[in-house]
Amino acid sequence: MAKPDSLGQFEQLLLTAILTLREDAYGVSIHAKATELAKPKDVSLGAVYVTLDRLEDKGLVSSRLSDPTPERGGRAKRCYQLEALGERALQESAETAKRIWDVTTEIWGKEWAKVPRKRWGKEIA
Amino acid sequence: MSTRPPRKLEAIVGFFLPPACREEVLGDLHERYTGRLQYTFLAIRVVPCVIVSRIRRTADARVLLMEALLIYASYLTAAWYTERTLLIDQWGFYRLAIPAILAVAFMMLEDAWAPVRERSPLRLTGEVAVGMLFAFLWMVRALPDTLNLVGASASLLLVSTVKILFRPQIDKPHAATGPAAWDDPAVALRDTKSIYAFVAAIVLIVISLASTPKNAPLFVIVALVLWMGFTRARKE
Repeated sequence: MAKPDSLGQFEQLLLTAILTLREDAYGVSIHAKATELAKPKDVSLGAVYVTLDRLEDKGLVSSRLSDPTPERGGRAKRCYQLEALGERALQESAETAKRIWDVTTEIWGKEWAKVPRKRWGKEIA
Repeated sequence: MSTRPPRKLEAIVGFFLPPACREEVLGDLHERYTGRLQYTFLAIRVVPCVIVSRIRRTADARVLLMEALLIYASYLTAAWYTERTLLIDQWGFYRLAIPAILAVAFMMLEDAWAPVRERSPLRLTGEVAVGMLFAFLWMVRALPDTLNLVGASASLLLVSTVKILFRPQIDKPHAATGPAAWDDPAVALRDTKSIYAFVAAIVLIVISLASTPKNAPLFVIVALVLWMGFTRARKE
């Protein structure tokens, strides 16, 4: 079975967005979700397209064209879904992030760990 | 206020987008529309990214390099037979490289804008012909007519052969569950071997033509290397 490549931070963001959005993962919705996840950084729609193409080339996601809808001027959406390889790559990234989190919390203390949690809570709200 | 972008503006943006991703990108931009100015700025930021991504997906750097070398070799050979003074000119070698750069850049864009379907050998040859015509017309004032014509014709013959042998990647869709073509070691190795064989053969052709046309044994070696390289690559 093919082993997934390690993912960049932006790739992780987009895979997480696709995982969250499930059936409704297409350009605009992925961009909105990625912007929410990347706060306070800004995410450009162009970068989303480039990275989605790269993820598709790597075999981490697949895409299909949906039916045209009137709110898009009668144009189809390109819907994305996670492939098995993409799921594994995202799981590996999440495990690595968890290990980093555990180690830093252990060294810098539990008080430090509360600071980003508070900040994220405020920004999301 | 209108909730949809003006048709003319959409048509302009659509013109710049490669057909393979025009539908979904125009739809996304339509969905994000809040005003004419916002739409224009968003399109200016998005369209170049989409074009670059499309070029990255359709262009194969190794094949492009091979095409550029072939065009350069064709023009050098044409210069040797028709206008030798150009070869001792201070900027002669650089001037002869311009058609290769122009034609390859043009063909790269042609691949990116090509429709997503299987392209026949005739169509691929036609695309090379248009690319070479572009380079020929661009160089009309910069190079002697005979040299330009012979160089462009020889390039057309060689590059169209390469294009048919190494089809653009748009014709080989990537499997969603497997690695991309350039990540697959088997494919990468096969391509690299055949390209080495091909480049070696071209270098030998240029050397043999540049030394003396009477050097028949060298031509035989060239033919053998070409034949062995390609048959071996095909078998693998």
